[in-house]
Amino acid sequence: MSVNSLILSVDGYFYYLFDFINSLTFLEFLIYFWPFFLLDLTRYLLLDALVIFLYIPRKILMRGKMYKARITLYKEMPLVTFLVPGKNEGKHIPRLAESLQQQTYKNFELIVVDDGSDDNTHIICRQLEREKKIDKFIRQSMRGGKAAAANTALCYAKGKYIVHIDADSHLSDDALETILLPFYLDEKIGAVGGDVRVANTFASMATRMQAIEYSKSISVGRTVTSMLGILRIISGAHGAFRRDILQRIHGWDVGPGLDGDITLKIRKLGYKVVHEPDAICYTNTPEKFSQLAKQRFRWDRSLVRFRLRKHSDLLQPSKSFRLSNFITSLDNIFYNFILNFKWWIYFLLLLIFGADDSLDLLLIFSINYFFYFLSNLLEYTIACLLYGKSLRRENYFLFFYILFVPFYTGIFLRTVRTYAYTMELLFKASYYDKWNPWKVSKVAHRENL
Amino acid sequence: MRQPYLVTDRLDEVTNVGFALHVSIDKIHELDRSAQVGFWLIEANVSVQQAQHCLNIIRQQLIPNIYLRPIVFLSLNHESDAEIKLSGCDAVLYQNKEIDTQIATLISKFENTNQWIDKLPNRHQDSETNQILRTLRLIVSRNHEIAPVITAHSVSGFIYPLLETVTQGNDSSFFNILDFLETQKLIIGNFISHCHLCCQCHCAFLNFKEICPQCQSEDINSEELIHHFKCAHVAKKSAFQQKDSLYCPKCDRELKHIGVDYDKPSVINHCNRCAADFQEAEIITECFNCHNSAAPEDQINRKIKAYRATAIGANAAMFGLDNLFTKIISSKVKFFTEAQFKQFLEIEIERIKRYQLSTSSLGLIKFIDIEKIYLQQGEKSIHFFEELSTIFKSILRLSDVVSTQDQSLFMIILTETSKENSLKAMKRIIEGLSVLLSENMHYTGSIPYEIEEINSETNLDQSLEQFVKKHVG
Ligand SMILES: [Zn+2]
Ligand SMILES: [Zn+2]
Ligand SMILES: [Zn+2]
Repeated sequence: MSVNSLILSVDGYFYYLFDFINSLTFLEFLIYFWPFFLLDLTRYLLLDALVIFLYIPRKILMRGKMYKARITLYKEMPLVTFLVPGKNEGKHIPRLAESLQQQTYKNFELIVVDDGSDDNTHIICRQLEREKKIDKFIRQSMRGGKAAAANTALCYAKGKYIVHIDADSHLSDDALETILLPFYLDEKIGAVGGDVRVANTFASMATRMQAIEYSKSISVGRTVTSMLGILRIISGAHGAFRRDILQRIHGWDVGPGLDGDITLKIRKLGYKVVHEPDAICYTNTPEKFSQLAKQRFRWDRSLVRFRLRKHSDLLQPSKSFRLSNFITSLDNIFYNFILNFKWWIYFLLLLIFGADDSLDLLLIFSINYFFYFLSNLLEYTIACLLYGKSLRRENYFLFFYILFVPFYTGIFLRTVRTYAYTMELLFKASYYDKWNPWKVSKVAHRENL
Repeated sequence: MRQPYLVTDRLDEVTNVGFALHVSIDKIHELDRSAQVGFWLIEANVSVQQAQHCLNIIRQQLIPNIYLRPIVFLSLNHESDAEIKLSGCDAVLYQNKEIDTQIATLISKFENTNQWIDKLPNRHQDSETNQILRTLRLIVSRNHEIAPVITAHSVSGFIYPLLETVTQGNDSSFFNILDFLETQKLIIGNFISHCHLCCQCHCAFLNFKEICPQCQSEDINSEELIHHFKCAHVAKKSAFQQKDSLYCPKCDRELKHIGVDYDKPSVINHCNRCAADFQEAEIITECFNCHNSAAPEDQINRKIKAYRATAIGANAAMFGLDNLFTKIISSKVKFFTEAQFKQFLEIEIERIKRYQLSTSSLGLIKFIDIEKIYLQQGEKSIHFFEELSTIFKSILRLSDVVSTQDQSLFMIILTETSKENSLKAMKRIIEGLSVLLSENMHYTGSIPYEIEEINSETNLDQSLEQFVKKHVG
């Protein structure tokens, strides 16, 4: 029976589907869908569920400690520095400065660094500085890259803690005090990552997909890795750091991927890094799939560059070796890098051995889709549980869009990722990225950073 | 044949025997009208200052035939050239060279100027008090571009030597005269430079100072930031400095070539009083003359130009500026000449006498000196006159007849209007004028006016005489 005539009959399709499933033994079933059962189900779904069901009760148990931490924080009232580096971000700054005024924790300063903007950013920001809405505005007429801009701000930061945020994001009113609390719970904590959620969820299909993705990979994903002690990234869009530690490691290194990089450097010093899902930052995400592809291309390459090249020492036994750091890197490399290529292997194997005809392929594909749809549904439910009070109405509407998520992650993101890894491995493409000024890329390439 | 006239301030001390024609400075206005003056020669050997004093007296004379003539300084050598350049004289005669050839050259050089002066109507009358006209005439008579000279000897930082004597160093009214002449297209200015002037005293000597935006202290240092490309480290230059070279405190590398392995993205200021770090220092200007401090944008930023007369300017210089104000105001209100006005008045008197049906009124208003407006308002006087016209236009009817004498006394025939109603109209005009004057010129004095009914006994000349006697004194 051909695929064409099958599509004419939905009944026929389900008949063949159940027939196909019935014909498989349990072992055969596992063999046919090994990527899901062996890897995704265990690493993501089961682990997430297990940890979250530990996290939520723990959070309730921790209430007393949190209360004490909050009292200590307000008794000490340390100055906190908001640090906002960026190029051509002037248009976002007035709103950002305005929104920071709403913070429940008031003792902070705002430092904005203009990294060689060629628009009217400096005019806008200088005016805000005069109006005292920005505490310090530093204009660098020559672009030096995001790391250099953040380091410039660090030079003049006076706060005990530094909170790095993106210009085009905004914080929930209690984000600052919430992100500071972990420092008062455990003095070995060197940095705290804040939750990043999508601000423009309903702008387009792309943003809806990202909203679901962020809730899984950041809100749930980082809470899980944080609990396991293997959190590997604190995003630049929302992260709090102890200033003394940042100064000890002399701030950020040349990017891209500087967020993950600085997190690892802090871990190497023996400090803990944690994720705080209740400190919320809303960020604007790309509205077009083409823009999104470009963004991900850049992000994905940094995995190769930083994990495999720069911090390869984490994988080798040495003095600074720590098991958690080893697992952090390995987990990242294995699940992102190696598993990315597993799909192509799976597909190839199916073509050679598994499928007799195109109908079988379609059936296998359908079952895979069903599995991934189901796991996304569960994962998103976990995310909603985790959100608790901060759950918004729009979160419910997104349940419908989970239908499309398997295509988004399975096809769109995977293609971009494969392309990025290949390009970076073969050509070190990130050294030629416009993200850094050419002068910096040239040195980085020469030094093999 | 024109001759140089040696001007002396003490006749008995004349030592320059070579010059047969001489005149004492205090008798200069009595010089015979037929004298063929090629230029005034002033002895500047003993003291340029003294010669300058003499020059000022000549240029302040009221007789065009005297103050407009070229002035030449007599000097022994080039020693005092710099000083002479600022004096406003038209040329220098050097005593140590062939004097006769020099004189002949100068006479022919000034021939055009002298011929132009000779053509002036009323050039022997000592009535030329209008500073605007004097300025314009000096510019036109010289027939070349009048360029500014930058100097520390003048408070405004630059002078137009030829024109200095007109306002006797009152810079603000001098600027206003130039601006007015330019907006009237009587002269055109060629941009030379910009100059910041004190908003209080027009002094060009301003001290531009960088101060701390937080505590206004002047005690600030600035330091460059260095960005090391390799490791993205950014810090003050002093943090990199080790002996004579730069070493990165983050990665221990030596920084070698600016632009290749490092650069200096910005400069940061540090306040030594309040310890604030800031990138943009506030700038404040302090006047060396009156010690007034102000932000640079609050000081006057003046364009300095070289001026040249236009064809209209040349015409106005020859025949006077009398019609200038009337020209502006008559674009809105129809103005009649004094003669026409008299004719209308006679017709109106006849009409009333004959029909005995209606009453009309004659109104007189004495207005503030127009020249004062030019001097105080400069280029803004145009707007002032336009507003003035609007006031007249809004209150008078088309059938009313308006004229002006000396551009300061207005005469109005209010046809078919009783004395009472005319008084009302007049009061409204006065009200409008008072507001305009107090807002623009801070003039709060009263504006005299008079209304009379037109009848067979009306006599304009008599009424004017009485009015002037009563209100102007
Ligand atoms: Zn360095
Ligand atoms: Zn200060
Ligand atoms: Zn002054």
